[in-house]
Amino acid sequence: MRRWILLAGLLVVTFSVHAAPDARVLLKQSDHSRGGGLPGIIWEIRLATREGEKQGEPQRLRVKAITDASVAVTLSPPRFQGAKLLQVGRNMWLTKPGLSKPIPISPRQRMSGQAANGDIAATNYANDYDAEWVGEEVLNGEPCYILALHALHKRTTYDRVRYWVSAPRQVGVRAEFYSLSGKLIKSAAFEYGNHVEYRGRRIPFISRMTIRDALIDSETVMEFGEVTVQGIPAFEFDIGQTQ
Amino acid sequence: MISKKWAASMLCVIFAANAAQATEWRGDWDGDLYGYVDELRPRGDGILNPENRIARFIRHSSRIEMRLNLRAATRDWRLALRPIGALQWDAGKRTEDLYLSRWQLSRPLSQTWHVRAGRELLTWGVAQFRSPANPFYFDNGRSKPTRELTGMDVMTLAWVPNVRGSIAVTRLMGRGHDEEPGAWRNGHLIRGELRGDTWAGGGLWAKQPGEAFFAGLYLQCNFGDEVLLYGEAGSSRPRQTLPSTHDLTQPFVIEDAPTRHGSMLLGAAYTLDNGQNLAVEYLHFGQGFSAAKSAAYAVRASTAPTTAAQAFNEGPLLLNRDYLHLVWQGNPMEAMGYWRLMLSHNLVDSGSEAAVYSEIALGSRASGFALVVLPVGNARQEFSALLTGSLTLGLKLAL
Repeated sequence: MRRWILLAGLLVVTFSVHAAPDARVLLKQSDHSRGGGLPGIIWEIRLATREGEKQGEPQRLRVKAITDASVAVTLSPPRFQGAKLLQVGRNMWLTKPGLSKPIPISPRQRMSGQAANGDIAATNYANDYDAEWVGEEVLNGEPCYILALHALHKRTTYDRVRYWVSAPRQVGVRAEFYSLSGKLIKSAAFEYGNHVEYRGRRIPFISRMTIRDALIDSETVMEFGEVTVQGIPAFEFDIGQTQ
Repeated sequence: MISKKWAASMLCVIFAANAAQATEWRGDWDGDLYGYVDELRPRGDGILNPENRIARFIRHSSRIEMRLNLRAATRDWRLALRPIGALQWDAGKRTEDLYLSRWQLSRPLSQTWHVRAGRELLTWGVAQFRSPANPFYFDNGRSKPTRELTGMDVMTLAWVPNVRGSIAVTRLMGRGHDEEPGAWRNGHLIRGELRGDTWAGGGLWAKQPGEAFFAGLYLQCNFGDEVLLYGEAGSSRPRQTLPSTHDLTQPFVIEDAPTRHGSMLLGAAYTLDNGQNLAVEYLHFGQGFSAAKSAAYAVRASTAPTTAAQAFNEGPLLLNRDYLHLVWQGNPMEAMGYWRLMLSHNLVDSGSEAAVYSEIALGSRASGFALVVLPVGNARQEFSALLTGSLTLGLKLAL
């Protein structure tokens, strides 16, 4: 009898663990596959935009990012080669070869298409959002946890995010981004064709992010390649050095 | 052109670095080819430049300019060079110029210490109209986007413990390509910066032998995604100035060791949903003249060509004390083009200057640009004292 009670208790515990995963741990784990929580990340991004039938000019960037700073250097189109977007906290500056001094950039002055400036940097949702498990859903045949994320501070790119995290792979596969008023702004899908070595483990790493506007027929595709995980000294993000 | 001593030092350091490390240098480059024409309309009835006899502005000039960015790096060393080669035709007369506008050789000494030497652009702060927190580039060139601002010859030791702050100690070797005899030679600059989540700022102290020190402060604060408030302030005592007294019987006298002056700029910028940006700046320039002194300056300058020449050559960086500057600009991140409307208003003599700059993409490598400057006022007002207008038209080709 005692054995049956113990077994029943274990089942209840197992079910409740399955039903309500630790949202914070899950979020932190999924951040690793998008560059968050790593000592530093260097990657190349190919950015393509489409608005209706109109294709935008493709861009290529090399990005260095740590927890709260990033610098993105434009590699193409040739007209913009050498332009740098530096972000420290919520502050952003743009420099270009020949420009007399860095120009401050508002988050409203986006790079291209639907990609916010924050989308090119490493994702640190665990640092920026409070996470709450709100359900489960099967996406493309894969069971996913659904997390509701609420911004912890004002320097986040989005106020609220609904985030689907794959249960077996522990990576974010879909996101919906909402304004403070609760209006859906855009949605994104993530693919993980890259892999990186981190703390002796080979972890899946983001290879493609497709962002769609919620109101108009507009899409931005970011492809991530040449990914390297390594510590990056702070002077790489010093505005005096970036000129 | 870079001095022989500097070039030799640079080559020695590179050679030593290469020999010591026996690692390969990997390099890349990019550059722009500019071709543009400038049309200036000097004021015929000007007080400071009567019939263009003093300044001798070239009415029509054309220029072809190649601006290259060469980069090479090993695991630790980084070298960046920005050579400029230019051909200019002024009223049919051709001149050539080849110089290093900027260069930098740098390497980290540790995770937090960093050393660099070169010809660097020492600019900071957000101010667009003028930069009162900067002793080297008071006019930071933002109002003329085609202008190439050249660097200062410097050696710098920087401590950057994290992304939130840094301190840099700089030995100033000279003015760089824009060499003025003795200017900033053997000087020092100490600059510290701090960056918060939504703000950034810094302070600096600069000194050259035999001169009074310069102290400056700059700060910018974001309020939400839309609003940016910023300010710059500086305190300096220039070596010489040309003061203006109310007594018109007194000639111009260049004064040594005048009193210390403070200048400050306050600015506010608002970014619209579409990325366009509106900015307003107020500048109080401590060395500038009041309305009475400004009027006396114009009257005294008009008495004879010699006084006009003196006023033209020795006058302060800006003539008057108080200015308003308005900017409405497109999104600088926009790939297909950029435009900028600027209106500067002199609050002392009520003169103004309007300017429009526009750059349009003509392909993945080419863009066209135009700059129109239209002073509004008479010969006794600062913005309209020398020119009645100017036009720059050009093409830029990414190499």
